[in-house]
Amino acid sequence: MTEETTIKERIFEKYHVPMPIYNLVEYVAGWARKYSIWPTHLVTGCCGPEFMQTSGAEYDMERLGVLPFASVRQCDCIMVVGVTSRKMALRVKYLYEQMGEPKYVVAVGACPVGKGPFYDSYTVVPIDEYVPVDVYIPGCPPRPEAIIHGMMKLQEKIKNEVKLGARTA
Amino acid sequence: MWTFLSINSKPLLQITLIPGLAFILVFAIFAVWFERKFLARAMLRVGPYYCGKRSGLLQVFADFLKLFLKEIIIPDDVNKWFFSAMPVLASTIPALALILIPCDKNWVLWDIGSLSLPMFFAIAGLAPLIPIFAGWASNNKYSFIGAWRVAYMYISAEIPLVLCGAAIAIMAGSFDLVKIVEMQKNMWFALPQFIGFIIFFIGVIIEAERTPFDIPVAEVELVFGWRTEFSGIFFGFTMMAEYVMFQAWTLLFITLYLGGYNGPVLFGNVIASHIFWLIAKMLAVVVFIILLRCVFPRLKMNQMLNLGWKYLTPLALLNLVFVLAMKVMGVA
Repeated sequence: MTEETTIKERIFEKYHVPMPIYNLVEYVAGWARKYSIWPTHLVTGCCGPEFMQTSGAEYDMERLGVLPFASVRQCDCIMVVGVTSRKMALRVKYLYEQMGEPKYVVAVGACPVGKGPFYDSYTVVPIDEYVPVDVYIPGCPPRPEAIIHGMMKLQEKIKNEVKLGARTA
Repeated sequence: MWTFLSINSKPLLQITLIPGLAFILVFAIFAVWFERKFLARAMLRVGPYYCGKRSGLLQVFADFLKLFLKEIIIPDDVNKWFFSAMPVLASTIPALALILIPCDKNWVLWDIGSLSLPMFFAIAGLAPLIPIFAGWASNNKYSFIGAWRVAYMYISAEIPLVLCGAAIAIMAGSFDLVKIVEMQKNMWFALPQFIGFIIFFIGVIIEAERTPFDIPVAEVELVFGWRTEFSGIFFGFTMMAEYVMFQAWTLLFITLYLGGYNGPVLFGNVIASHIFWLIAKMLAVVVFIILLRCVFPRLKMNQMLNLGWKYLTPLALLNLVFVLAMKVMGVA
């Protein structure tokens, strides 16, 4: 926790931003980022149908402001849905590097979280060996409710991160 | 020279309120919110809900702020000047066209008399250059394909639009937008020129890149069309540009065919009721065009070009001949 406070103090020392204004900007930024997560999805496995339903009728993730997007340049969040082999994980990393800060990664399903049913496979890898994962959503496959709960956890995390002034992995 | 900056002067009100900044921004906010909410209801969803006291009204502000605070990526291989200038120009050039729209006989920001209709087509004709330059400057194959699709689409749409505008000018006997609106006091031009009305409506949808014709940003084929490489607030500006374009062409459509600002006078204030009718008609057309998005699938590029060259252009010529015949026989 020491590092995060120093970032805030460093900004304060360098630019002499008055603390109330800094806090206000921080609050507004946290609010805006929290309610406007635009995820791009990398669907490689059978969690896909469950993930599609989160944007469909009944579940509707757009209530939280989550709007699935096509292009990585405009997105904030990668949702890795399904099995990631060693080769695919490199693509996830490539995607991650193309996005602008602040960026988040959500691992959906048992395979990217741990190795899931492929626990003894030599080629399937947990995705957090390649990119920093913010939220893990377990399940094989996870229900749409679980995915929405994961997104709500990500919202909380985004808000707290802004308050601390840094990423807390 | 600086008298227009005094607080009660008409140009200042026109620049800030209508048809100026506030008009454009409020329209963009309303249109984005309405589109997301309405499409969600059409799909039996709820749409934006938790952001802004269970109405989703603050969703647009959240999106804009987030884009504003996000990192702007300028890739190594792009043409940096063009890449960073185009998003800003994309939303300002269509906004320039708005200053020609009459909100009342005495409420025109740039009153250039009989040059106003040609000037509108000239300014709006500049707008497709921005996507083309942006797509070229991005140095990305998807952006480039999207840019050339924009070029194809606008050429095939703009010729029928200009022909329809010519027919209107012949019927009104003037290129002056105010005179065209004043001619429609008793009968809207949509009735005698029904073919032109339909063609111009399709043309407006094409120019605004709305759904049956959102070919340049086809999300399934091209990643995001000519907008692919833009991130952060640059992307926000390009999205803004879409809605400004939408608004400008819808306003011209109303001015030419649906009687412009004409309508019954409310509460004895002529200018206010004229502005009210203009906005009401604009919102009706905008809602109808947004409704099309949940009905139609996207056309293919060749289907779109067939529509433009094989059907809209000959029909627009037919409309022109019809109007000329009416004018010669003295009916209109």
